[in-house]
Amino acid sequence: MSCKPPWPARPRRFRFLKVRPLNKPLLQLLLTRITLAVVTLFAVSIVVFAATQYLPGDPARAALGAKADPSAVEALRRQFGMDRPAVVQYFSWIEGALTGDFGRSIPSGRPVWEAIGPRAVNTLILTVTSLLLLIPLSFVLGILAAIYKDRLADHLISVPTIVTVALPEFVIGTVLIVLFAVYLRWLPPVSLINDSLPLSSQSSLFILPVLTLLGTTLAQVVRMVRAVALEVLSAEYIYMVRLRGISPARVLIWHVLPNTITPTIQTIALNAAWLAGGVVVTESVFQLPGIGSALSDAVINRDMPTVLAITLIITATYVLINLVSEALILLLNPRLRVARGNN
Amino acid sequence: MTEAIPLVVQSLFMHDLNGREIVGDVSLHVERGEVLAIIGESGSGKTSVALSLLGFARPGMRISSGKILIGGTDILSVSGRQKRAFQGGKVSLVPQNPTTSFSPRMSVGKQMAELLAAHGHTGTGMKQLMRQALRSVDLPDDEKFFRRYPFELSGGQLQRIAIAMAFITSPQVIVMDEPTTGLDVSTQQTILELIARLVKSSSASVVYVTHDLAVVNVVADRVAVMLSGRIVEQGGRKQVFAAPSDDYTRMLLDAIPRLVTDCPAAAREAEGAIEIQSVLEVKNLRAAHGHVEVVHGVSFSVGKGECVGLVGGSGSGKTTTGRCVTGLHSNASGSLLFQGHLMPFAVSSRSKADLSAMQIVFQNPDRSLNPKESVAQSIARTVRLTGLADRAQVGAEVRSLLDRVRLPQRVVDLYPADLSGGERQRVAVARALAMKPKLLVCDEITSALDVSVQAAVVELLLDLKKDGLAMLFITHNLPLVSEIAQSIIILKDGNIVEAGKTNEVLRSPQDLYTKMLLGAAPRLN
Repeated sequence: MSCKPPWPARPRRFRFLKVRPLNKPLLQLLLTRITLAVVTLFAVSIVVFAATQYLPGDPARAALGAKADPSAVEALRRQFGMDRPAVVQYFSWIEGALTGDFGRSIPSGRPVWEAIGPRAVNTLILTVTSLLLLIPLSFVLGILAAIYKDRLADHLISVPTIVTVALPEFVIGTVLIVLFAVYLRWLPPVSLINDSLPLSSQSSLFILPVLTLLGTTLAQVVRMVRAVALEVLSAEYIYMVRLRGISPARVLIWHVLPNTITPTIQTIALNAAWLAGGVVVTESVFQLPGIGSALSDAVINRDMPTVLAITLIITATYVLINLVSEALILLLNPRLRVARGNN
Repeated sequence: MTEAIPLVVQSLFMHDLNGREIVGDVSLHVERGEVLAIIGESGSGKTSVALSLLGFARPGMRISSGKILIGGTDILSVSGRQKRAFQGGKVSLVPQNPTTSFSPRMSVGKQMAELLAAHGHTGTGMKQLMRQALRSVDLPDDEKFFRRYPFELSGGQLQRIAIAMAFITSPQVIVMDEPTTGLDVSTQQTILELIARLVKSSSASVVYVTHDLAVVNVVADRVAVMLSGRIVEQGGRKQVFAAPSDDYTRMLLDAIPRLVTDCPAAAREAEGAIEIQSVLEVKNLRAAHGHVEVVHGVSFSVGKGECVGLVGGSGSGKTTTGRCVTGLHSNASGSLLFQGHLMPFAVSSRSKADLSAMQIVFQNPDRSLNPKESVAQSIARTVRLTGLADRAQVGAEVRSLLDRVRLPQRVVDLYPADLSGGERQRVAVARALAMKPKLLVCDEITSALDVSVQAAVVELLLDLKKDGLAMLFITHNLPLVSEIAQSIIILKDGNIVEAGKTNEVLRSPQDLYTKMLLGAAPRLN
C-alpha cells in the first residue's frame, strides 16, 4: 500500500528561504550595510597601518641582523620605500592592496601573496569545513536538546558541549592528539601539509583541527539554538499548529526551524568571524601551515607587508561575515521582504 | 439508532505537576448546534477545560482522569496519528490572542492549506474551500490575500481567519477560548455577530470560554459557571442570568459594570454646581509617532476631584494622549497647563514638583511592578522620594497607603507573583498615591482584570476621587466610564468626535461613532 503524504506533493524547497524580488526599502538597507562595511574596512586598514608604523623594531634591521652595516640597513629601507613619509607609504600600500598586490615580504623579497596564498587556502578549507559542520550540527543538537529539555538527550548534548566550550583550543587539540594519534593511532598528530602535493590526498590532516575548532564553537551555538528553540516551542502559535493536527515532523521543519534560524544567525556569524581570526592557536597546535602561523612568523620577523596583508585579510573576512549575516537577517525577515508602505 | 451527542465530558480531573488539582470533576455535554459558555475568572480552570477538549494539556499540567467523548470516541484514549485526525478535524480551536496564534513566518494562505492538507484535502477542492471559508468571514478571497503574512493583518482580520479555520473542516466540536478578549469593542462586536451567524448556519457544538458575561448574553444557549476548577452552576442562559442559584454566580453578575446613563457622580456634581478648579488643561495637543501624526489637536481639561474618561478604540490616540500628558511621549506640540503653569512635554525637563504631582498607573500590573521587589519595598522606595527618611515613618506611611487601597497588612512582605491581578493593580495605585499626586492618569487599568476585581478597583478610584484627586481615565470600556467619569471625551483617529458630561453624551450621543460604540458595548438586559 502506498503511503500518501498528508499534504499535497510540491517541491520540497525551503520556501521560507526563497527571496522575492528586492523592494526599495530593503535594497536601501542592504546598500547602507555594504557602504558601512567598506568604510569599516578602510578605517581598519588605517589603524593597522598606523600600528605597524609605531611597532617597536625596525624591519630592515630585523632582516639584516643586529650587527649589520647602517648603510646597508638604510639601503634596504630605501628599497622597500620605508624612507618615505607614512602617509605616502599608506597610499601606495592601499593602492596595491586594492589590486591584490600586497608588496614584497621583507626578509625573503618574494611577493607577499606568493608566500601566504597556499596558507590562506589551508586556513580557508579549515574554517569553511568547520562552519559547514557547525551550522547543521548545532541546529540538530540545539533543537533536539530543546525538545527533550531536562531529559537524557538534553543532558547528553548539553554537558559535553559546555565542557568543551570551557576548554581552550590547545587543550582540546592536545586531548584529540593524545586520543586519536598517540593512543588509537588513527590520524597523524601534526598536520604538516605539503604545498606540492594535491590537498585532496591530505584531507585526513584536516580532521583533528576541524574537530578542535568545532569543539570550541559548537557549544555556544548549540546553547543559543536551544534557548531560542525553547522559546519557539512554547510559543502559542506552535500549540495552535499542533492542535490543528499537523504532524510533529512538519511542525518542526516548517514552524520551529524557520523561527529558530533568524535569531541565531548573529551568534553563528560571531562564531564564524571568530573562526576566521581564532584559528591561530589551533594551527600552531597542529603545526598546520595556515595564515595564523604565517602571521605569528611575520610578527616575529617584523615582516610588515605580510603582517599588514594577513591582518587585512582577517578583518575583511570578519566584516564580510557580518555583512552576510546582516543581509541574511534582512532577507529572511518577511516584514522587510514584503514591506508595502508603512503601517 | 440515535446519533451520539457530539461532546460529552465525564468527570474530568486535571492536576499540575505538584499534584494540585486544577480541574475537578467537570462533567458537561453539548448537543448539536448548541453553544455552551464556560464562565469563570482567571485561574478558574476554564481554559484548561477548553484545551482538554482537544486532548491537550498545557505544559506543567496533565489530564489525570475522566473521559472526553467526541462523537462517541474518547479523545484521551487515542494518540499519534489518530489523535491528530481529531485535532483540527473533529475538534477545532479558536484561540484567545489572534496575533500570537499564527506562525509568523508563513503566509496565512499556506497555514490554511496546511490545515486542510493535514485532514485529507487536496488540490482545487482545497483552494475552493479556502476561498469559501474566507468569504464566510467577510474577508477577501484572492491570491494576494492568501500571500499575506500574519503581521500584515489586524487582530480582527486574524481572528476572522482563525474562526474560518475552525469551521473549515466542518468539525463536530468547536472550542472558542475567549476569542474576543484581545480585540477592541467595535471589532469585538462584529466578531461576535460573525460567530453567532456561523454557529447558526453550522451544526457544530460550540464551547465558548469567557470571563465576560455580557458577551455570553450574545452567543450562548447554556452556561456553565466555573470556580476553582469546579462547575458551580450549569443551566440555560436565561435561567442562570435571571435566577442564579449559586452565590458566586450572583456575585459575578453584580460585578459587571452597567451602562448607566444617569451617572450618579455627574448628577450630584451638577446639583452642587461647584466652581471646578482646573488641575490640567490640554490645549491643541498634537502628537506623532515618527513622522506620522496620530493625535490631531486635542483640547480638554480635568478639574479637581473630577474624573475625565478618555474613550476610544485601539488606534484612536487615547493612550498616546495619556503618555503626552505624563511626559512619556515628547514628540508633541500644543500646550499643557498643569496646576496653572505651563509644563514641558519631555519628562526630563519637568520640575520635581510637577513629576510627583502627576502619577500614572499602567494597564498591566504584571509588567509595571518589579517582580524582585516586595510590596513594601516598591511602595517604600516611592515614599522615600517624598523626603521621608525615618524607617518607622516610612513603614507607617506604607501601611496607611495599603489601607487606603484596601489591601490587608499581610501583603507587605509578599512579592507581585504572590498576589492576584487585582491586588497587584492596587499595589500599583498605592505606589502612585505615595507621591501625593494631584492628577492620576489611569491607562486601561482595569482591562487586564476580571470583572469582580475590576469592580473593586473602580470603587477604590471613586473613593480617591471623593478625596479631591483629579483623574484622567483612559479606556475602551464605555460601561466602565459611565460608572466613574463625570465628563467623557470620545476619540477617533486622533480627533475628539464628541465631548461633554457623561450622562448627556451617553443618553443622547450626537456623533455616529459614539452611537456605534454605545451600540457595540455588550450588555446584560
